Amino acid sequence: MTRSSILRSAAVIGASLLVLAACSSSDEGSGDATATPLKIGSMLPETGSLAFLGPPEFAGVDLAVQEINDGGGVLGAPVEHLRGDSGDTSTDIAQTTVDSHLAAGVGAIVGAASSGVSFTVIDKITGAGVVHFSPANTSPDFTNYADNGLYFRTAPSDTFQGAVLGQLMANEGAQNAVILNLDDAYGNGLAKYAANAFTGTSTIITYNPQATEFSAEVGKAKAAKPDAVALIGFAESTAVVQEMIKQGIGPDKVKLYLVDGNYSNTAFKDLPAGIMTGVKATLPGAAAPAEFQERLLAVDPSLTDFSYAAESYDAVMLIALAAQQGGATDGATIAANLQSVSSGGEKCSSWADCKALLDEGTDIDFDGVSGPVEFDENGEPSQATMGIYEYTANDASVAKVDEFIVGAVPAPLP
Amino acid sequence: MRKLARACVAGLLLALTSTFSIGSAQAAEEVSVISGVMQGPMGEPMAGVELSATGPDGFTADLTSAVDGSWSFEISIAGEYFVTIDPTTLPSGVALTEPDKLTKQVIVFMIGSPTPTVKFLTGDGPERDPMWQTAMQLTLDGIILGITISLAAVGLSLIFGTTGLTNFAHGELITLGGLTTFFFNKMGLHVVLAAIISLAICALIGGYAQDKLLWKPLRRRGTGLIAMLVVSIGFGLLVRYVFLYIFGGDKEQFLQYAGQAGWQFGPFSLTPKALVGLSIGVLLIGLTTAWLLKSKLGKASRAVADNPALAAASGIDVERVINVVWILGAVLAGYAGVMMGLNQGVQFIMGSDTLLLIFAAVTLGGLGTAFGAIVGSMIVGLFIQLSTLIIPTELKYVGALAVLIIILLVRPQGIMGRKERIG
Repeated sequence: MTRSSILRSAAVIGASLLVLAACSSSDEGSGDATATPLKIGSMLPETGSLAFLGPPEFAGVDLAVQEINDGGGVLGAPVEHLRGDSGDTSTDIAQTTVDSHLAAGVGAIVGAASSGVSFTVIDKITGAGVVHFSPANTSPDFTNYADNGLYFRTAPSDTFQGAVLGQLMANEGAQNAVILNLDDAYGNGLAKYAANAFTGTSTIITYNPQATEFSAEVGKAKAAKPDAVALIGFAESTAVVQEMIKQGIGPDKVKLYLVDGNYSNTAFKDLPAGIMTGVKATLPGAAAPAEFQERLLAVDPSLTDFSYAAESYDAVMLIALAAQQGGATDGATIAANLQSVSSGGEKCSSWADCKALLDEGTDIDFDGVSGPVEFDENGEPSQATMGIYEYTANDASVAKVDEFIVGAVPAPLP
Repeated sequence: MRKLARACVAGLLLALTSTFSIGSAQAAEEVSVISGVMQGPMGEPMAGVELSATGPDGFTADLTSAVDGSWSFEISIAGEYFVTIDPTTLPSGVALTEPDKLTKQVIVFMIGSPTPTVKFLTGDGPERDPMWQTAMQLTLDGIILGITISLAAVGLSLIFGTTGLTNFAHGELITLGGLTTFFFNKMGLHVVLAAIISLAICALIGGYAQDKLLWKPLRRRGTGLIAMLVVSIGFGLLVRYVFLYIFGGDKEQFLQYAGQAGWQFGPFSLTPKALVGLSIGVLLIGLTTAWLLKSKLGKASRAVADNPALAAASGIDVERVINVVWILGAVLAGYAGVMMGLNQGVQFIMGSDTLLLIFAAVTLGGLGTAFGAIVGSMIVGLFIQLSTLIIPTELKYVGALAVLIIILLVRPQGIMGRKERIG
């Protein structure tokens, strides 16, 4: 036998082994004859004004997929995660991502972080019969949106965050607040509910996040002589805070409150030392337990923030459980089972436990890392936790766990 | 027995809703208090103001403010409560600050946690700075914005004048200035030093090389102006995403002078860094103007802008003039990027976000004239800022663009542009 023929036969044997392997794995899955492997597409910010939220959200998705696949996958087949960028509203990256996910035949798309971005693709996703599941959209406008029952989110509507933010400012003694918000579905919604819950006088000033500079907006805020400023924005918030410092209403002079869109341990690091100390921020979700943070760090050791990691993790878990319970991986089946696996039944919180219960035919109630996650008929959490965080330095903050608010998500105002 | 219990509960509820006796409230295990205070315009307490409250499960309460103006009621279930004031019961001569907002919502998430004090403000409401004071600050900020725009606009206008190219990639020169400064700054150089190196790079790569390697060959091949315009759009996109690839999408701050506190002189706030940046910007524009008016090369560039064929015939090296204009334009735009970076931070998209304003300024001033570009920029900068006194801030660019359209309707050649013979 010549060397080349040895090689050739080795290749043939190798190829046949591969074919055999493929056959045997399909044999295993034959219990669910119609089931195709669950494909989940992500549409999370790798670029754009929310890019700082991307790493923790991707880590949450990756961790959940890893744990599900370690536990045998969904309906006997491993979950496939197709990564995708959402960009922000100034680009059309989200459209491209959705097109490629839909072409790949995903059952659910996890994303986007920005409510504005989600609005640009929700019709395309839900129109294709695919579940649109956001871990971080908080705009109140999604609650009654005509989504064919296919839109879900693990983050609570901003009727909740707005009320907590407004009350927080009032409880800390503010009488005359300015609410500076970016002009999109998220910013306008949150500002409206914060102003409604604030008991003193409030002035809402809206800005275009793509503006070259923000002196006029901050000038208007200064003219209102506020004793508290709530800044509702994304990455441009750093520039707005700089302008506030310039005009003498910086966080060292007037109490500043941030929200989930700009609460970050990296965004303000270059500002004068210690200027952010004492600034408070609201962020939906229970504080990520240290043990969960360690699991995330094992997936992505470079994480500095954990915003919405738990919500992303829970989103993937819920989608997988819904597919497992429904016995199929298409959007309609997942959507039909999501409410049932999130509420009413025997409580469980890990893939292994929940899958074992489902295999016994038990009705389950998945309790996530971000909270109990009980979907109402609109596909939103009806109960939620709002975290309150306080900066201890420009690049560090602590969870004020004893100030966390747990309660029912208020109904949107007419 | 059960009947008796039901009657008791009903009686208790009645007691709760009508009288608020302390005894009945204590029967509940844990309660929250919703309270408020009625104060007149000068902060004096107002007694006898009537309010009513509603809440979940048919909860209602009627309230009257006490001698010290306070009122309160206790609740035992979490939910959404609404407090409505009866404005007819206010003392005579006192009016609500927001007369159309008679109902306030109080959301109680958890029984036992504090709720904010509900206030119905009376009188004129909190004092605000007078409008002229805001207008002064806006004028100053308008000048800074105008100078920033004009630094980029002069280069764009000169390039258009000498080559006819409408350069949609001009914004990327601003980004180049900002991002290379940030790059050297992150490597450990002080921002001033980093800016100087960055401007040299702008001159060399952004100006000299860009013209020699891209636009000169295109001109030599006789590419049409529309085709070159489209090339510039594509080139700008390419460069923008190369920046994104190298530097990432985040908005970054220079290591020095980020968040510098402003000096407050009367109505003005101005940061030292903005003052220095503005002074250098004015100096650069002044030098450019002097160069155009006095130097041989400057005069030659105006001659080329006027009539390239005639200029070439009279012995001017047109290609050399164009190359110098490119270098000048790149340095000015790069400095605009440094200025924006100092005040706002740098990002891969900073230049293209500003491009629209630059085009507005150049068109307003008159295409192809450097002085027109400066005048146009100042108008755009001032108008953007001052228009926010009237229009909402999120629409601040609309005013400037409306002025552009109106001026062009009246004076199609722009403010400083010359009338061109048509036909």
